[in-house]
Amino acid sequence: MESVLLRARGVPNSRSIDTYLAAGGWSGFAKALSMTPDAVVQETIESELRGRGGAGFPTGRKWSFVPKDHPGPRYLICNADESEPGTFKDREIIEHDPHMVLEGIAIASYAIRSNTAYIYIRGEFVRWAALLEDAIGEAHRQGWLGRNVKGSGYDLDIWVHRGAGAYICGEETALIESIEGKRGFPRLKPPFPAVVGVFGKPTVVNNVETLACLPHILTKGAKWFASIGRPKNTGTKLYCVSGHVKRPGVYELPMGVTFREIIEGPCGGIREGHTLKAFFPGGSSAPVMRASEVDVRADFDACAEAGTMLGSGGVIVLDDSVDMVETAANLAHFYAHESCGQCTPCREGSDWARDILDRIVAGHGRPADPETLLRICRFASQGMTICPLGDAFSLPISSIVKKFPEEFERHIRAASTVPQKKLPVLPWAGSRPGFGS
Amino acid sequence: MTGTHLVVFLVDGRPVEAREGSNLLDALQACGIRIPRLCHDPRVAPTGSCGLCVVSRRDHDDELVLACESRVEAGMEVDTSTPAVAAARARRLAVLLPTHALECPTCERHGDCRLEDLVHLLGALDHGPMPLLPRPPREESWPLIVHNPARCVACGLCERLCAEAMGVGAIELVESGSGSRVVTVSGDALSCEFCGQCVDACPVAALAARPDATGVPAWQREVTSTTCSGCSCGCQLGVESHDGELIRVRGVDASDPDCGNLCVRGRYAWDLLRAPGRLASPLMRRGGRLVEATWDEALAATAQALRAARAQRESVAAIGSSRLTDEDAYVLQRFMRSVVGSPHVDAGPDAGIRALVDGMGAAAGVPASTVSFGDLDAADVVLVLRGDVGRSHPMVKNLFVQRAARGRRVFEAYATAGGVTGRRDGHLQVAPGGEEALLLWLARDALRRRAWVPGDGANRPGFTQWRTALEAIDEDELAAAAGVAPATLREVGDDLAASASLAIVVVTGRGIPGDEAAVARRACELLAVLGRAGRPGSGVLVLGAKTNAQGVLAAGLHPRMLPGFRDAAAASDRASCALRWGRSVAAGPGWSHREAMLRAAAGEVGVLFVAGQDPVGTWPRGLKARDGVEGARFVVVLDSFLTETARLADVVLPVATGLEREGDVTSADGVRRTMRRCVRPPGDLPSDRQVLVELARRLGTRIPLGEQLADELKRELGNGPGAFGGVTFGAVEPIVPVGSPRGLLLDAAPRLVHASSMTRHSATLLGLRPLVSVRLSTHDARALGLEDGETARVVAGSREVLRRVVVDPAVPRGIVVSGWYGVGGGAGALYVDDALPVFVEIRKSP
Repeated sequence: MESVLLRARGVPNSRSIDTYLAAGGWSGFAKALSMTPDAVVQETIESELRGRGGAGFPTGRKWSFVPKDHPGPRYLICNADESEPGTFKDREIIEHDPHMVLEGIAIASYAIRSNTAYIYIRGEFVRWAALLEDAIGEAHRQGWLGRNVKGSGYDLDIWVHRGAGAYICGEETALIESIEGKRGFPRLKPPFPAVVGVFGKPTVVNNVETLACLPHILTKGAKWFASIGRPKNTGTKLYCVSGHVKRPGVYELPMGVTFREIIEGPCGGIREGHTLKAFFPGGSSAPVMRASEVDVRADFDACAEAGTMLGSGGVIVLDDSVDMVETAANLAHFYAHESCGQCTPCREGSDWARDILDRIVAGHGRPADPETLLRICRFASQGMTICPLGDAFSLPISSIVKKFPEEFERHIRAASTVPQKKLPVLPWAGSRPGFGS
Repeated sequence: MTGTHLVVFLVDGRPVEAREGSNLLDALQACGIRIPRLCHDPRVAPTGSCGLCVVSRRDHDDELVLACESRVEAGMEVDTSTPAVAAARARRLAVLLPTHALECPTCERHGDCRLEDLVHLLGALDHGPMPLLPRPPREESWPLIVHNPARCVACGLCERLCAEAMGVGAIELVESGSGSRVVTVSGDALSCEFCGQCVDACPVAALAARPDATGVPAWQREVTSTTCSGCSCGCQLGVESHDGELIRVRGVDASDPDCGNLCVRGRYAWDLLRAPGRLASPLMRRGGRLVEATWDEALAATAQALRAARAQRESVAAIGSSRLTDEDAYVLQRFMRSVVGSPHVDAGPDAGIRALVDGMGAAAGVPASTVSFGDLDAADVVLVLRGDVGRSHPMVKNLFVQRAARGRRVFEAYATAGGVTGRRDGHLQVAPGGEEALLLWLARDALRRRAWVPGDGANRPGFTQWRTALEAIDEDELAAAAGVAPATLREVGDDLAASASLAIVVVTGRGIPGDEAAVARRACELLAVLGRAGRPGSGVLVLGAKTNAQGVLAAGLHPRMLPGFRDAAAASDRASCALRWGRSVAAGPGWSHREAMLRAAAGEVGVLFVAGQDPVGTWPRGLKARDGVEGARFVVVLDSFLTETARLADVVLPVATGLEREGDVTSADGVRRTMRRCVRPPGDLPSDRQVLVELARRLGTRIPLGEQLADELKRELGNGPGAFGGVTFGAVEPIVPVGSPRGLLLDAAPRLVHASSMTRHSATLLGLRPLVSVRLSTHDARALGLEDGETARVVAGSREVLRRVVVDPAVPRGIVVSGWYGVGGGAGALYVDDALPVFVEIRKSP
C-alpha cells in the first residue's frame, strides 16, 4: 500500500515547506479555499473519516455541530497532547511532516469558519513544539497562514500552546480549561465544546492524525479515502506497536487489517522463544485481548464488537513472560496518578484499585480482592463520571481480572496475610493517603 | 439557559412544576424532594463531583443520570428512589467513605454532617471492607479556620463558593487524584474575608471555625432565624443555641436578601454578647462613683429626675440610635413626646438618616431608598458612590460578584481604599468628597446628550435655576473637583446614556468624607435628567451604616417627624397622634442631636437620655458631645456596654442587644425583617422599650407592649414612606475643590471586620484585626521610613493617636487606613466634622 500519512518518513529534509510543496503539499488547503466551508464539511462527511484520538467520532459531523449563526469567534484546537501509554503516532507525523498537520488545521479551521487555531501539545514534546513553531513560521512567510491567505480573504493564525504534563489534558474539555489558563479539570457536558468551548466560544478539538488526513481527502477526494479500509472504517491508520514484538514502531496500514496481520506482518512477530499472551489493541485504556482474539480486525466497529476499542491505535503486545497482575498494578499506578481528582468514582476508585493490586503483587492478596476490584471498576465505569478517565482505568483493569482469573488465583493462593497493626490509625508519613491494609 | 416559564414533569409519577431548563437537582430540592448530595450548592455551577444525586430517567429507558448535571425538560419522567438508584448511590458512597476519617463520636459536626446522614440513609457501611487511612496533619496555622484534610472528601464546594459566590478565591484544590487537597492560593496562612461560607458549606468537618467547636451536639441545639444587626443589609442568620447560650451562626439557605452568604461580622462577631465588659445590672452614681444598683433603685432615680425636671420646667432631650428596632424607636419617641412632654428626640449623627432625610426626602419627596437589592442585580448599570461595599456592606458586594459573572458592570467611585476582594475593575478613585462633583459632571453630560422634552423633568421644581447654576460651572473644574480625568468620566457617561436602567448606591458610614445628603440629592437629580427617575429598576439605594435607619425614621425617631413620616410641627398630625396615644403630644420640631448637645453644654437640659449611642466616645469632636453630657443635669444611658458616655452618666440601664433582641427592623431596601431572641441576655436584661414602658408606668402613663404594640405600630406606620413623587432640584453651590492635600488622607470608613463600635467587643474579630493599627501603602511607608510593626503617631492638627504601623500593599498610595473606633482611642478622635476629609501626618514615635 502506498504510504499516505508517513510518506515523508525517510525523505531527506522532509520538514521543509519546499519539500512539502514539491510533494503537492498545501494544495488541499488551496482547493478548500476555492470551495465553500460547507462543501469542505460535506466532503469530509463523505470520506467517512472518524476521529483518530480514540473515540472514533465522525469528524465531519463533529464540525457540523458548530452553530452556523454564531456571531463571535470560533476556535479550532489540534490535540497533540499525545499521552496515552503505548501511543506515539502524532509525534511521528510532526517529526516528519509538520506541514501536513498545519495544512489539516487550516482546512478544518476554514470548514468551521475559525480564524484562530491552537495546537495543544504535550509539555514533554519540547522538540516537536519547536518543529511546529518553525513550520508555522515558514507557512506564514509563504503566505499559507496569516491575513488574507493567498488572496482568498481568509485569515488564519495558528498558536502552539504547550501543556504542563497532565494526562487528563488530552481530554478535550480539560484541554480547553488548560488553554484558558485554569487547572485541567474536565467540564460537564453538555454544553459540548462545539457550542461552548474555549473562552466560551464554539470550538472543535481534533486529533493530529485526524487533521493530517484532511489534505489527502481534499486533494484525492472523499471517494478515494472511503475506498481504503472497510465501510464506516475508512482510510489508513497509524498503528503504534510496542512490547514484545521483533520490530516495534509506527506502521501505516489500511483500516480493517487484523491484529495478527499487524503483529506478524511489519512487526515480524513475537520475540524468539516466546508466544503471544495478550495485547492492548488501542492504548492502555482499551480492554485487554487474549492471544486467541488476535484475528479481530483493527478498526473501530470490529474492536467494539469484540468488547474492546481501537482507541488511539497503540497496540501493546505482551508475551508469555508477563505477569498480568503486575500489568494491572502498573496500569493502576498510572491512572491513580493521572486521575484529576474532580469526581469521586475515579479519584477514589483508581487509588483503591492501585492499593489492592499493589498488595496482591506484594504477596498479601486476599480471596475477595478480585471481586472488590471488579466492584470498584463497576463504580467508575457507569458513564456517570465527568469524563472518560473513569472508564479508561476501570475497563482495562476489570478486563484483566475477568480474562486472567487464574493469575490472580495463583498470586492469592501463595499469599501471606498482612501482620495486624495494633492501632487502627497509621501515622502520617508525608506521602499521599493510601489504603494500607 | 434557564427559561422563564414553568413546565410540568413527573417525579416518581407525581407531577411537579419547575422553570424549564433550571437545574434538576435544585428544582427537586425546591419541591421538597430530598436528593443525596455532597458537592452541589445552588450558589455555584455544578461539577458532578460526588455523583450521589443519581436519578433514573423513566422516559430514557431508566438511564441513570446525575440530577445536578440535568436540566428540567417539559414532560420528563424522573424516578428518585428505584432500587437501581439506591444501589448506585450506595456504591458511590462506599467508594467515598474510606477517604474520610471516621471520627464521628468526637467530631464537632456529629449529628450535623451530610456524609454521616447519607451513610445512615443509604446504608453504605454494608458495602465491602473499610481500609485504614494514614492521617494527614491538621492545618492549624490559619486564623479562625482549621482545615482537617483527613476528613476532606474533595467535593470542591469550598473552592467554588469562595471564587464564584464571594469573588475572593482564597482557597483552592491542588494536586490530582486522591492527593487532592485544599490549600490557600497564596501559599501562606489563610488571609481572606473570613466570611465562613466555606465552613458553612463543607459537607463534613474538613473546614471548621475554631469558635464553633463547643461540644454541644447538633441534636441538642435550638435553631432560631433572626435578622443580622451588623449593618443595614438585613441578612438572615440561622442561630444555633443551647440553653440560651450561643453555639454558632450559620447562613439560612436561599434566604432574602443574602442567599445564605454571610460576612465575617454577621457570622463571627457574636461572642461580643458575652464579652467581659458587658453590663448585667443597672449602675447609679453615688458619691461621684458609678456603682451597681437594683432595677428598682435605678428606675426610681430616673423617674425622680424626670419629675424634678418637669417641676423645674427644665428641658428633657433624648438621643436614640438607628441601631434600635422599630418598636424601641417608636416607644422612645412616644415616651418623650407624650409622657415626658418633650419634642426633642433624634437618632444622632447618623449618616444613613442624613442621606435619607436631607437627601432623598428633599430631592425625591420620600425619605427612603427607591430601589431594592433585587434591582441592583437587574439594573443595566450600577453606580456605587462613597465607599467600597465590600468593606461596609459585604452582602451587596456578593450581588456585584454575581453581576460580574454575567459580564455586567458596576462603577464604583470612592476616595477610600478598596476591600480585600480587590475588585478594581470599574473603580474610579475620586478626590475625597468628590462624588458630588462627579454626579454634577455626569448630570451636565446627560443634559448635553439629551434633547429636552417638556414634561420629562424639565418642569420639575427648581430645574431652571439648577440648570443655570450648573452650566455656570466650568466642566473641567467639576472634573478636577471629582478628581477623575474627563475622558474617564465621558466613558461612564456613555454607559449611563446607553443604559435602560440605572441604580445608584449611596454608601454611608462614619469616616467616609463628603456630604452624603448632597450625594443622594445629586443622584436623584442625575436620574431625573437621564429620564430614569421613577422608572422601574432605576433609583437610589441608601445603604445605612447601622441596622435600622429606615425603620427608626418611620417610627418617628426624628425631631421633625412623627411616626409614619407625619410632620411634628403640624398641629393636625400631632392631634391625631394624641388621640391614639391618649395624651397630648409635645409641639415640634424638636432639637436635633447637635442642638441638644449645645443646649446641654449651656446647662439648659435637665435630663438627657442616650439610647444605643456613645456620643462621647464616637461622635466627631465638632458636635461637642462631651461638653453636652457633662453639662446636662442628669444623664440616663441605655446601653449594653459601659461606653465613655455611660461612664459620665448618672444612671446606666443595661439592655439586650444583637441576637438577644426581638422586634422588627427595616433594611436599606425598605423591607421589614424580624429579629427574634436567639440568645438569653446576661441577667435576663430587658429591651430598650421594656425599660421605657416601665419608666412611663412609674410616671403614670401606660404604653402597650407585645402584640398590642406591634398592632399599634403597624397602624402608625401606615403605608410606609409613600410613593416617589418626582425629583425636586436643589441649589447648586459653586464647587470648592479640596485644597492640595497636606499629608495623607485618613480613611476611617467602615472596614470589613470592624464596621461599628460594637465589633470592638468581639474577641474573635479582634483576633483577626486587632484595631490598633494604621495601614499604609508600601510606598508611603518607605517614604516615611516606617517599619511594619513599629508604633507611630497619627497627627491631624493638634490631635494625635498612637497606632501600630502595618504596611499593606493593598492600600493605595496617599491613603492611610485606621478605624474610626479603636482600642485605646480610634482615629475618629481626629475628626472635627465627619463630612470633611482629614489629612494626617504619620510621625515616628519618639
